[in-house]
Amino acid sequence: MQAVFFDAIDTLRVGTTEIPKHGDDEVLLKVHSAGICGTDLHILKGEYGGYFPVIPGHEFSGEVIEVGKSVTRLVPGDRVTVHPGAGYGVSAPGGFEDFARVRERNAFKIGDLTYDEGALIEPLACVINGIDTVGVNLGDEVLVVGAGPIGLLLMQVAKLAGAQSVAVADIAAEKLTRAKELGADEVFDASHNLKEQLLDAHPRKFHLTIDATGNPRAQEQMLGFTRWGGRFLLFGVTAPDATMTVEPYDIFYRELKIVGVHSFGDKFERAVGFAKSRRVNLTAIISHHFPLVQFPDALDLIHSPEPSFKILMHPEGDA
Amino acid sequence: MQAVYVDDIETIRVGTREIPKPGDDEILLNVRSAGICGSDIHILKGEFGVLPVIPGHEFCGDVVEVGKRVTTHKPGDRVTVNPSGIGYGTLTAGGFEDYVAVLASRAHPLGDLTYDEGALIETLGCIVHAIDSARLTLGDEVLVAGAGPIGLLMLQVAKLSGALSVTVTDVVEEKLAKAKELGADETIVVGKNLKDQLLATHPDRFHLTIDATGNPKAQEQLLGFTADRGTVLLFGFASPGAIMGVEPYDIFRRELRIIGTYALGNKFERSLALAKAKRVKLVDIISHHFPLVEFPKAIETTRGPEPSLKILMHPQAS
Repeated sequence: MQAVFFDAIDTLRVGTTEIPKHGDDEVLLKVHSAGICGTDLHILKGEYGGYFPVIPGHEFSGEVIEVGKSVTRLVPGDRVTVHPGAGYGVSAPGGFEDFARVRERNAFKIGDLTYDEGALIEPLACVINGIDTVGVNLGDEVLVVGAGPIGLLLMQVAKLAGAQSVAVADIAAEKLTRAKELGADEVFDASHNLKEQLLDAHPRKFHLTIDATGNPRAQEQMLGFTRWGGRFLLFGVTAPDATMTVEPYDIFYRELKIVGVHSFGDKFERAVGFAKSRRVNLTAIISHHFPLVQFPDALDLIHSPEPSFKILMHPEGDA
Repeated sequence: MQAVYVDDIETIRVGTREIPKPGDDEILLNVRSAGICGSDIHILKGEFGVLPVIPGHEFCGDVVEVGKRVTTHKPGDRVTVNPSGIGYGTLTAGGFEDYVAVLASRAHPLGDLTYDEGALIETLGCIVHAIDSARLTLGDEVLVAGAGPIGLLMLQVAKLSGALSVTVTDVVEEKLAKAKELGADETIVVGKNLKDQLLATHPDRFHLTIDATGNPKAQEQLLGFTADRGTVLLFGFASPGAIMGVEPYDIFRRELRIIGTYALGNKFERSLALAKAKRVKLVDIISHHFPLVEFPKAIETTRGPEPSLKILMHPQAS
């Protein structure tokens, strides 16, 4: 079968390997859809995980093909999404392969969700965890900077959590259009005079500001957009060692909170239920599909100037 | 009567003024004790509040006169004042004067607390508000950087709130000795190998780290002392414009929280009750007393080489 390997830092290969043998408490999945996450790029750069070689992919869904002896809840034919808490795609083989072995307790049935939606449960869970951790209060005015797939999910979940309004800023006009379609109350072109534009529209600033860019230069501006007693959620992954500067007096005097969230905590099951309720539009955050063998092309696309949202990989025959 | 004026940046004067007349909803207090706070130093530097002002936002005294509509207070009552929201000592006349008029609704009975303890309720309120906002959890290992009066109160309130242990650091050994007396589980003199020392006894670092120094260089070190999913509480008053560098990846990867608190929120009455229950040692954080006229000398003391904790001012008559 085929699989994507990260052999070492910046060394990527699409190769073949044996179909894995599942253990007694595991199931074998035919992977149908697997999302590329910003974290995958950091794994490849050696900035996250560091367990080389690894088969990446921690956002994936598929069909149960075989079940281990002690498996009781799942049967072949079940359509599931995978909770990657066992390190799938980071320290253990993940979803960028034709077949994956996963523990029964990490596989959740997706009901009538599509496989593509199923692959997006993990990022949705991260976003729910972020919003839960930082807290959205009913009536909050929220700012999301960065309208990539994460920003678009944060915008939707913030609205569902009771935000009065969500403003979205990005430098790409196409992304802002998508944000608008998905319910953003306001969109701002971040390529010029962002501060003036935001403060004109929100002179008292925002109760909650969220960074979904991972860019320290964007991040350090966020406290300036955050109102007295407000919160700033750092969600985008930056390079380790990159620094941003903040003014302690401002944090102290205006009683600000800076909160970091990197994963999904205990929110995976909640995200499955939430997605099944169709209250979040997951399909709209997808921009591209590739067969698994074109993984290098998918990465080239991410690094190209062409705007992209979520990119999904599909093992051969399912694209 | 006498009053301290901050007329302009770094310009202090002890002058005289008429005894104020209380408004219909106000009471007139004879101030008995008033604390100097780090914020007063920032007011003096022009970094906080509005000048000119009679400073002093931590004070208590005796009621000597009440306004027409006041039914809750009578002359002779011993009270402490909640300056929150009104701005006594920052926006309007505060406690560094012989007599001050305050809203009756802001004056709370002292019970059997001393005047000096009463002057420290506002400070305690800020600490309770901060520990509340930081959401200290039962069993937390806590680090307090700075063993001044704020650090010493943080230490006590953290322990009362369920901390497993509180470690206190400072550059001054005398202050750490005081921290030890007040229940610090561990004290460490700040030196070159502070990080090694802290990690030797706390390899998983601290759930909650608290800055009570206001020094941005000390503040930016705290993230490195904070456990995964831990909280950094910025309480020390840094100068406006001073910056610290933080690593966003570290905040993200280790899910850290950095929070600031500066005032007392709605915690005044709770703090007064806590003090009346004698659960916090307030007197121990006081190091100096001065008559009001020696205000300039008191300010020099806060800036001088001699270690000081809380300094209280007392009008001449009392």
